[in-house]
Amino acid sequence: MPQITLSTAVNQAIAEEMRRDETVFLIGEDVAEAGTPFKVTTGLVEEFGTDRVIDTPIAEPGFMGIAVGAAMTGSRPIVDLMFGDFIFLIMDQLCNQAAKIHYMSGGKLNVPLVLRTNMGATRSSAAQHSQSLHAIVAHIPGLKVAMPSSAYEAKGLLKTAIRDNNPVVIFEDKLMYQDKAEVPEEEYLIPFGVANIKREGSDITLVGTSSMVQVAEKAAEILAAEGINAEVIDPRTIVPLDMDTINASVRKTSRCIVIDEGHQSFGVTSEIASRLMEQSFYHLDGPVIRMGAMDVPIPFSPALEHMTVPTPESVAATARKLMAGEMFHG
Amino acid sequence: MADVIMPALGMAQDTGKLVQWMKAPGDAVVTGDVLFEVETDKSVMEVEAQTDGFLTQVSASDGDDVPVGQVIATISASAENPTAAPAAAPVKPVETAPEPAAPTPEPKAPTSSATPPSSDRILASPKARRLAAQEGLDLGKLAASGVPMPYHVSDLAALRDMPATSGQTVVMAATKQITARCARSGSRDFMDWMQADGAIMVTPAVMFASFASGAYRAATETPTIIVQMSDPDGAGTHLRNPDFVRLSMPAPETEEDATFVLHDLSDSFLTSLRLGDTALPTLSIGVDGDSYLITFEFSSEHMDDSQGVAFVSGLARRLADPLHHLV
Repeated sequence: MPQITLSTAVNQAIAEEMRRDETVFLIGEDVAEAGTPFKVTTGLVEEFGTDRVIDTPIAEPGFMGIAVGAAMTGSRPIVDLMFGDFIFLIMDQLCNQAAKIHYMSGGKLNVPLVLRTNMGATRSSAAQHSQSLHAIVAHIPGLKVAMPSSAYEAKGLLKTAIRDNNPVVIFEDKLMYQDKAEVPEEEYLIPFGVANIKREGSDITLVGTSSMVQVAEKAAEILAAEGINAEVIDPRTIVPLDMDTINASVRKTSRCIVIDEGHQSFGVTSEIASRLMEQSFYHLDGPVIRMGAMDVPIPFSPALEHMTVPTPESVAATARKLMAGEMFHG
Repeated sequence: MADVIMPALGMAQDTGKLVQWMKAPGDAVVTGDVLFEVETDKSVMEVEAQTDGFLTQVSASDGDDVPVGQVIATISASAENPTAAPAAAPVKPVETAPEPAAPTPEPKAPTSSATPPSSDRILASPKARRLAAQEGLDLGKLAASGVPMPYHVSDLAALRDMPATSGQTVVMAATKQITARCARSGSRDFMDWMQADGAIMVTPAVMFASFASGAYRAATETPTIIVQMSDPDGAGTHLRNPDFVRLSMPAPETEEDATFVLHDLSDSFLTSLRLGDTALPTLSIGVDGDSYLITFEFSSEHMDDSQGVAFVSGLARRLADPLHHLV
């Protein structure tokens, strides 16, 4: 099976779906000749032309509004938002319009739109280009939210998103665009709402999203050398969220750490931890621990920036503490 | 019986001022009668009765500011007890089933319902607590042995190896709970018929005691049944074999020890009591709309599970259709 990068996997998913369905088009800043700053869409304009690979001015609310209207009237737009941080510019188009039009029209209108954007710190992009804002859109009913953790996941989830009749937001970790994984040449889709058990274990469950899946897997390797068997779960989509798989794992291991690169407070980790507390309380042998980004603006300084996000070492250290039954707070 | 509430007459209204009652407690009312006047920021409105009956349990007075949605009176089928209903406050706090293996320096008094002070609290994970309860293990013995808290499942192994309970530690049998719901219409018709046909006033409390005693006898074959009629303050009369006397007669009071406790909640805001305090089998009967809610707590020391089920089923059957009791 060929090994390809995450950016190639995304490129393939877009190209395959544009060939399959002529209503699919791509719109955003620098998506055509420039191929985006991360070189994800390189070559698409040559195959599909400027009618279907549309460069826009630097005007996010405008092109997002165009895409929502196009989706309502029969097209299937893929919007490229250059940095996830710019999502604040398109909140009305996304959250007030795209998320609610199906409901407000009594089901007469659909918005089959994909918003591709990114997340992730530790690239020294500074505070306005390093945020992980997926929890903010996951809070809005009507939006689905996918968080691919590898090239394989990115391709399968994006193809599913393009075929979905609802607005879907996909957050790709910008640190992972050059990460390679085995991706089959034949077509495949990854359904939403089905978590992936990346590694089986009996002692503690590590739930990770996006690049934090890799962090959890590396932490599990560190812990395995110490005789602690960690189970690693990738929810793949946080909306819908596969609590069945997560609950089943935690009921087996009795312990859980949830790891996500969004800010820790009011985030995805809090949501999953709360649901576990509600749904598996009597199976817990310790508190469910959240590990997210520090509640600070992401620093530019590499030395400081790396301290703000969970690492395999910090996850392993927390897991050891949980296994030992230490108190976290009085 | 229908609740009379302070209505919301404006979009942003928190309270309404009760200008004056147009009916007095105990008055007969028919649907459409003006019950009281309420003043909002804009106007004074009249509030009408939504059902026929007697105005009872009036808990707000002329001039009171009352939160919207609050029950301020009840329209009952009879004029009895027209005064204010007791607030829920004097009732003992509802607490969960007692930690089956909590450390008790002295045998726990049956009426104890206080939470132990935090210094005595056992810190343990939910799973460790659940497993300890299932196995009848006393986490307090770990604390007494100096094992540092908090306790986890891994600490239970040491606990299992400790010698069996002795001395002053009391392991209370786990509380079991059975609940049932049945329509009130049958009992209501029965009470109305007794009143109309024989001018016999049957109160819910008398009926509950008689039916519960009969059902208890049928389920457990207990020869003598003493029913402790519980008051909210914990005292209460003991009735001897209330199912042996006619409903029109008072059952003989006695000083004998009670067979079970009966809480009649039908004239209160409470629907059920689950105090987890099962020195005696404990029955509560409350009202929820057109249903009776029956809650029965007992332990294996009192009866086995099938007897408990038979008792509650039999009682529900009698309340739903009193003819079952009479045959």
